[in-house]
Amino acid sequence: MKCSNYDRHEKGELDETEFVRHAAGCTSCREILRQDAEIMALAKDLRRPVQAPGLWSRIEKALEEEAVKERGRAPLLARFLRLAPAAALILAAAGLALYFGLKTRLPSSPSGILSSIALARVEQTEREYLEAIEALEEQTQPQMAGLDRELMFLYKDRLETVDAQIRRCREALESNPANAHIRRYLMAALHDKKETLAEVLNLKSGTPEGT
Amino acid sequence: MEETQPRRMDEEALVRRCREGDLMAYRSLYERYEQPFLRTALRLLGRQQDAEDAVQETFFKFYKKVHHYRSGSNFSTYFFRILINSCTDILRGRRPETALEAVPPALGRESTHELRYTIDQAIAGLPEQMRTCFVLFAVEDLRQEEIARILEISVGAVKAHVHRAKARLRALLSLSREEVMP
Repeated sequence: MKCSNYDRHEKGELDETEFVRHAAGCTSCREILRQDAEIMALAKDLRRPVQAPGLWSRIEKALEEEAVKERGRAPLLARFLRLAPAAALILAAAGLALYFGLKTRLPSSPSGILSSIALARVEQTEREYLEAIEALEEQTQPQMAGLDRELMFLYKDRLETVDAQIRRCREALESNPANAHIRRYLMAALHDKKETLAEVLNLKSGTPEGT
Repeated sequence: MEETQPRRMDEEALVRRCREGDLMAYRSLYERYEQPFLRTALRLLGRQQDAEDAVQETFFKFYKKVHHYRSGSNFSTYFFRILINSCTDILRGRRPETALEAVPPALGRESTHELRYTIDQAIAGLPEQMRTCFVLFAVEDLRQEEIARILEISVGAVKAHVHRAKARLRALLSLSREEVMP
């Protein structure tokens, strides 16, 4: 026969101390409490690890794809589009070239870990980008100083954003140098920087070429 | 999942980094929540693939909403709410014939393994919200107040669900024992 005090306790009408005192002398409540404890112990026992290999890679890929989409909708780019449509077209073309170029250049690794051969190739490409960027930076300094003020700030803003992206990738690679996803991010950022500097170099009279 | 002050501050910092688009911060959150999320989703959805989809969807939704998250809120509650909503979406999207069935537990044996199986199946057979309350409370060790905030229901409703869930499970376990010892 079930005692009504248990229901009262579960509904919060009877506090814990009072109920425990009652259960000490009530066979029905004591048995329910024992069974509850057993159920809770069995439920806790269900806290076993669930294996889901590859789940993070899928999440990371989805987030990266979304980030790429969002970058295409960034306000800065919108401002840039208004100011210099031709430059925006060049950037878009460069972005597409970069995307498909890297896709073919970098072997895709399902685990996100680069093999040592692929890593060496990636590092070589990275060095080439760095050399190209260094040379371009030297050449663009006087060009940048002579730019239309607003355009100069836009380019500086863009370069700072890319530099921050490069820094974050490098920090992440320190603890995980063979992560293909971060490498791909880094290469994309380096390529972006090189293209932006090349664009500055091609500017004439403070406006992008062809405008 | 215990929400201590240092943990909370740490997660606030991670959320700030997430807002800046730092994928490593998302990774850190994933490492913290992977297991409770997968376990909860698996208990609610019953299938590994669906559970993984729910966790992926949770991170994707969080990524999209990260700028709307108010600092100072309980992050764990907020994050769990996204997970539960993702699970609900998956359940709603299922065709009726593929919905999680109330599988009658395999009764009759009393080894710990069989008992665990019995309770697992019995949990799967609970109604959706009762199951969610019970899993968060009994398996994931969340406080009833936290569960109420996650599900946006009253604490009283959580208590009632847990109470009813325990009553059902008790009945099943008793039945199991009666079959062993008639």
